[in-house]
Amino acid sequence: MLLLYRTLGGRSLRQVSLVCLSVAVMGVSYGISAHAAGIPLWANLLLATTVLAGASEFLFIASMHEGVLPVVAALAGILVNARNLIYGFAVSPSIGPGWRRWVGAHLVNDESVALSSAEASEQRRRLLYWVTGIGVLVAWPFGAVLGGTLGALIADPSAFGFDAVLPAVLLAVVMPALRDNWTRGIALLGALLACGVTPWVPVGVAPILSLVALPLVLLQRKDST
Amino acid sequence: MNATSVVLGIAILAAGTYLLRASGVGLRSWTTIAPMLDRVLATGTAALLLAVAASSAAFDGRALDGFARVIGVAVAAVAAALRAPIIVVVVLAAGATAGLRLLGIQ
Repeated sequence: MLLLYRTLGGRSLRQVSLVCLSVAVMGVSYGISAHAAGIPLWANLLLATTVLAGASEFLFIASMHEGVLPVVAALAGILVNARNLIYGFAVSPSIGPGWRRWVGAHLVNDESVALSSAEASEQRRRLLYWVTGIGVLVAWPFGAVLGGTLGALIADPSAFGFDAVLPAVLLAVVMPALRDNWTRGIALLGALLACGVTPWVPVGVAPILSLVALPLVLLQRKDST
Repeated sequence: MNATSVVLGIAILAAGTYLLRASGVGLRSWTTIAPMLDRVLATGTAALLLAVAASSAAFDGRALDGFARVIGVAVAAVAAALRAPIIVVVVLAAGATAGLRLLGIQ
């Protein structure tokens, strides 16, 4: 912990810890839902560790509960995770060389990408990517199993506002990037688009459609920000 | 649901998700990146994150999900824009959402 404090710095360490704590809280709310959907604890843990992508797991357990074929439920979940392809492309240089790339690829998610891309130097990006990624790899399954265990006790996790935690965390970590006028304009336009099409497209596709606004970045001249 | 079909589903989902992540990571190492593309990718990442935050605040899956969470997350957004520490942002989001639901606003 002391070594982490020295290399990361107090501010970043606080930020990573809080993001991981939020992921764990969200994991608890997922675990409770999984319990309610009749997913046994071992399957819950297996899902949380090997998939490590919250939204797709929510969708998977909900589909399984409704009696959808496992293969179909899995394919829908994969579609939800399509943005990880773009994330992987974006953070690839921050992961590291050789075999580490293929281990590190499993840690590509909203949180690790957000925290590492907020850093200026390549060295800091790499550090934040791995620390956040491993933190999420521990926090998410931990929360999921805790939630699965608590499931019998807490009937309605939404009464605690748990479901608002992760969107709020994502907003907080993406906020520094949004101070740039162009980035903010394009991201807001993209988010509006995504929300507008959400009811009409399969779950998970809408955020990717936010990238339709992206070519606008090409209009920006190098000297203006 | 039986254990074999659950494991089969999980295995497909896990493998597919890993393949998506690794293809992104791998594709990058076989292409040379123009400086402009770096800028596009940074903006694209911000747009994706904001879109995920916005749609997961407003929707439950594909259905609109009432006002409590949207207002809670909006309060958090204002706090984050005012540079509030991330812990304040999180507590405000959950607190406001839970409070509204307590008042009967879903």
